[in-house]
Amino acid sequence: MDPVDFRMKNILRVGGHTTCDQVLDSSVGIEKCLTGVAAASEWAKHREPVRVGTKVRGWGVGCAYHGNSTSRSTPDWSAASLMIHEDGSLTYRTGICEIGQGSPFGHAKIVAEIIGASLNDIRIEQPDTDSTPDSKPTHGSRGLMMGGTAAADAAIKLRERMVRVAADMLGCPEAQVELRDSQAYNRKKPAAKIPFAEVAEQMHIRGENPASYGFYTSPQRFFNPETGLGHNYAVYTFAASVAEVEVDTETGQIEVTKIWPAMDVGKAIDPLIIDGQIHGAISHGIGFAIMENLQLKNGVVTTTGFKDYVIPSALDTPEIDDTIIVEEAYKHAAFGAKGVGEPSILSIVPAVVNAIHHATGLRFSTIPITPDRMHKALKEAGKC
Amino acid sequence: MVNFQLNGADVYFEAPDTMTLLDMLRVELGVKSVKKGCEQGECGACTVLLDGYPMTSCLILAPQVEGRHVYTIEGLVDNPLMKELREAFMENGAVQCGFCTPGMLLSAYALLRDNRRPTEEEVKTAIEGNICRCTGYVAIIEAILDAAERIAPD
Amino acid sequence: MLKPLTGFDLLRPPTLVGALEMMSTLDSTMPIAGGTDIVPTFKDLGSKPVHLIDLGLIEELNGVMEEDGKILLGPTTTHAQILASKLIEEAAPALHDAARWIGSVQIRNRGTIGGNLCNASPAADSAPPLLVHGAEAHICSLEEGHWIPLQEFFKGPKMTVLEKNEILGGIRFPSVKGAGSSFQRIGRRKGFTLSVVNAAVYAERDGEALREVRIALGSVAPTPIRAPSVENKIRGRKMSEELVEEAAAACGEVAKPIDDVRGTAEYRRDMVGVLVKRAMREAWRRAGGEL
Repeated sequence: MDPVDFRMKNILRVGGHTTCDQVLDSSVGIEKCLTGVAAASEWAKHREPVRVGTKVRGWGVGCAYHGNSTSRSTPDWSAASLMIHEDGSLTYRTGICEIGQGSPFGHAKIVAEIIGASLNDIRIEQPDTDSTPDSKPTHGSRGLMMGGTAAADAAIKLRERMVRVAADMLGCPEAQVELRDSQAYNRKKPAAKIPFAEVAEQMHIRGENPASYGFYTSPQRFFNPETGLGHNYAVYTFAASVAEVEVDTETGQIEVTKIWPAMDVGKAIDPLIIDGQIHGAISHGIGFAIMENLQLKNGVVTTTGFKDYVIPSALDTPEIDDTIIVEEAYKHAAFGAKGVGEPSILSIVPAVVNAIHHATGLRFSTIPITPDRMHKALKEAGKC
Repeated sequence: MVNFQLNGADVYFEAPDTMTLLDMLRVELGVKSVKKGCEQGECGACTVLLDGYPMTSCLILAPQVEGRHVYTIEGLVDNPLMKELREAFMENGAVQCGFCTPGMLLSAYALLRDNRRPTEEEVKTAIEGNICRCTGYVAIIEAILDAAERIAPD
Repeated sequence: MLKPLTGFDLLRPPTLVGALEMMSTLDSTMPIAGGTDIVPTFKDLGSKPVHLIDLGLIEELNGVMEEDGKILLGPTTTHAQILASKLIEEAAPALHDAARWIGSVQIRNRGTIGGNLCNASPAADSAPPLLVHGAEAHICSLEEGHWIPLQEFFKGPKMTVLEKNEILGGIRFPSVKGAGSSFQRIGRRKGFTLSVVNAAVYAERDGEALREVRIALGSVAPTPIRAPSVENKIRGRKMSEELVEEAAAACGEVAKPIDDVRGTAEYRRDMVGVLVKRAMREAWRRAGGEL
């Protein structure tokens, strides 16, 4: 049976049960991811491997899902704080750390969207254990999903007060107040715009709280550790990829030539940041599949350093098709956003390994599939 | 005693023979853009320009730069080509954790200085010695091609 | 925290004579040029301290030139210089091929051909190309220097015949019009990596026959080796795919590789044949032949 068809028959859908017998009532985007990459890669046209000189080209698909935040219904929560200053700028505080992944920036975008501030007017303060709200750890694909929702809570609370004051200043009902580009105006009379600095000044004069503390706790779930059944994760990020590989049948060397990635991110807060994660994971996934091999001898690592623990260089980068972003919103998170960082690698490795199988007819159940292993398998199967 | 030029300024430093250029720059002279990665010449995080050529400073002994010119990104802040590269890196999302970035910028700078319109393959070869684990190289390659486009439009 | 380097001091003689004098008079010396192979080795305590003699200031040891029908390479010539040399690209394309695959831009800007040869890894990429071009190594000391065939330069893994007062003073090989050569290797990724196995072939063409052929193999013996038994079998014969297959199979017999962290002996033995085939075809094509 065609691998995509096989998966289509077995993937999770809304209402489906996971292996822990958790019923997924929403936010299940795997079908769109899978059909998306199948279409983008023209899957149906590549059902036979193709010989190119001594090389053979094959295509493989991989699917994955990855829980966000804590497992086994362990409670999770996150806090954030926001304040507007008299010059109309805002300071946002989160304990989620910027390690290059862009999560705090995502929080700022969420705040900007809700409060109607220009991004440039929001300052994200460097976390300080003395004074920054505890957002719980930056891990578990939860930085944006949990931290960003705490940001949203802080923003919604502050917005309410800003709207109340602005409505009074504009002389219109609160429902007509629009906050945009760090200005407040009456939707019905948009020409008269009040800068946030004036709103903030009025809040100061009137004794309206210019600061808010956001807190988000994940919905209560139930998981039975005895049986291993129940609500494991609050929500899952889904991903699918198609990989195209070329195997040199003379040498066993494998090149991953193209990847078509797709991910259900709930809501794409920042597509450039999502691409950054997906591209990094593609490189890392290729390393896992065909290069990275930590070897031990009598308990001592023998592959010390990058000479022998081989990871991909720029030259090993495949062509990568545009990321197919699927948005099946998670109803309990800000704008429906789910985590991206960890899930992005999971579908790459099986896609590559399956593509190698398609190209050569040979299955591997351990990785990395290094040239010598590939060649040996081809030799033993009489294929080189 | 090592006398050399660092980012255009004369420097005199009592470096023991066993000190690498990396340690002299980063640890002793406070040039923090030069990073310690593998200290084996494999990762490129310690890349500097020695007489204009990219090299891994972890493999150079401090006395070996006597009378020579060392440049790091601190010395190229106002350089027009480096400014384009910085802009391009920021706009294309080529910086995530930033650890590989100084080395990448120097390798890219040396490439574009000598080859104004490189092919994608030439860009990849120029940064072959700079490992990145975050970006998967895609945004970095695009940033370098973008900068090349801007400094030498067709 | 990685250990700082230890166990050496650095002397930087400005002249060749000065360097040789140091090596003759001081106890425990070791020449250094780019240092790309040897600098990281000084992290381990325990070895006897050495005087590192930096050859980098000695101008006469650097450069590529042609003289009396021979190409001369100074030992401190960097891989980048070799890669950029049009002279090498035409006269010894296999060496040009190898220079591209040695290290990264940063390593090529620093690492030298002398260093690569004196490090004497069985996988040294510059060795097979030089061996098939009939290269000679100049053994240089305060006494009269002398040239030896490069295959006699390597004694064992990481061992050369250099005595404590000697340096590799240069490499030379004849420049032969119309000859073709090729270098092939197997790496573990497309980016720079140590060769798992490598090979070079040199061919001179006489019509459709191999007037001269030389084959060198790396990483299948304690040192880089020529394959004279294979060369003798095919020299003078008409070039064909069958001949290529025959040579490849014969090289597989000659190879005696080991298992190590980079690859298995079985894989290396199998690959030697594949690489020799590819190198033979390309060397022949570069010599103007068709297959």
